[in-house]
Amino acid sequence: MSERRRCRLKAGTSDDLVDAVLVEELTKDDLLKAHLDWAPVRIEALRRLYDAKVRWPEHWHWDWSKKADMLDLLAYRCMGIECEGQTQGLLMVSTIAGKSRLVEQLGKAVLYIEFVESAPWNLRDLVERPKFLGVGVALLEAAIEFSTTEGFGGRIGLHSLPQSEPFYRRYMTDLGPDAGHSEGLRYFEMSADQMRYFLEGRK
Amino acid sequence: MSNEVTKRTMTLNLTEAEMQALESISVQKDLSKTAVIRQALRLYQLVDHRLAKGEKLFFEDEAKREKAELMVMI
Amino acid sequence: MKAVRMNDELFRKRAAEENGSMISAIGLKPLHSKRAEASHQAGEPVRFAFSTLICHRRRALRLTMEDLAQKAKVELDELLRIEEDSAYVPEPRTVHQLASHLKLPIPQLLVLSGNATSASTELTEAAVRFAARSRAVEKLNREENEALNEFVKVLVEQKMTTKKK
Repeated sequence: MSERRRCRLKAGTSDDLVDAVLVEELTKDDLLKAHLDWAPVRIEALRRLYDAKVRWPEHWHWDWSKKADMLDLLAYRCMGIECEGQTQGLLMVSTIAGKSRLVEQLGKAVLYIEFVESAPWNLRDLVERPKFLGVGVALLEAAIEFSTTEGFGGRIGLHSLPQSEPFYRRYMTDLGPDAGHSEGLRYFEMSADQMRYFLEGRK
Repeated sequence: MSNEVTKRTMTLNLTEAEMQALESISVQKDLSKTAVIRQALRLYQLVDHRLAKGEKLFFEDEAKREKAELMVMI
Repeated sequence: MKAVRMNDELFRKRAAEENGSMISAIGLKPLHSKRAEASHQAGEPVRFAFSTLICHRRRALRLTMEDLAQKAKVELDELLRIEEDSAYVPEPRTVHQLASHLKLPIPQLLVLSGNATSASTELTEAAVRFAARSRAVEKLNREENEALNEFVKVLVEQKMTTKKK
């Protein structure tokens, strides 16, 4: 039985914080359920964007059920945030794919974020009034915590899709486009100082 | 405290050379010895998984433009 | 060692800053799978030709996207992406299914979609010509119809040796 811990999200339409649950180890079934829950809203939102000739978000075609196979391997772990009986965000990490490229922690093990996603009803690009805010922040928090308990010192790294760069640039170091990535995405890593700033608000 | 899922303990008997290698990697990677063993297990399982699918494992030297298959007996 | 947890006030501030923006990240070629790199196969005009071909052929056959997706047993969102995003490389299975239902030759479509390479330049040239003559409108006009028919003729008549990726 996976560990479930209390966490919080912010309500979309007020300043209130809402109780949520961080599930630390999702099963394949959990992923499939999330995919099925998210699909109708996602497709409807995409159809509206298509009709309005708006450029689609870059990650729209992700199918989480296909990602489920990764969970057969110890190297991968998927975490999720649940609120009001639905998955609000998903995070897939790898413990063996990450090695730090930041000078101050060069070569050290980094928890690598393979995929991260918020439910479509939480995204301003897809819906007029997002249901919950702070999914990204809560998932980053979860990643840092897992990195810490795995002995990686809270270090995390990821390749961001272009539309998400402003979010990651706020808290992480932008190491630029990665020629080693099949889509040349920019690689971001969080230093120890940045982690302190992110979690505690102090530099 | 997170990650309080059930964990099982085992005793590991290593040779002097194996222990030295483990300690060296542990220092080099700034990981505990337990973390190193767990990483090794994850990597082993992943490599085994792909080999079982019929894929091959290679080392590539880009400078020399050489690619050599790693014959892994797992 | 335990990571410090963000206090509620800071979380509120950070969540407001996030403000429902995109947070998606995607990993390197996944270690668990050998699906080849998608992005840099057939050139832009050829892939635009593929997108347009699927879309125009579908419309010429008077099928909505939902109809085609259902008949060909492909995901509607993948079909939407194929027709809208010429940078996208669909799964070979999807290409097979669509080719069958749209009555188009499979090897040629695998090349156009970026799933295979071809030794001949004839297909590429025909694709570029077709792409140049096509544009997105609601109803295929006569010129688009002619362009479509000509391109399909080339596809069908081509003797192909293709290489799978």
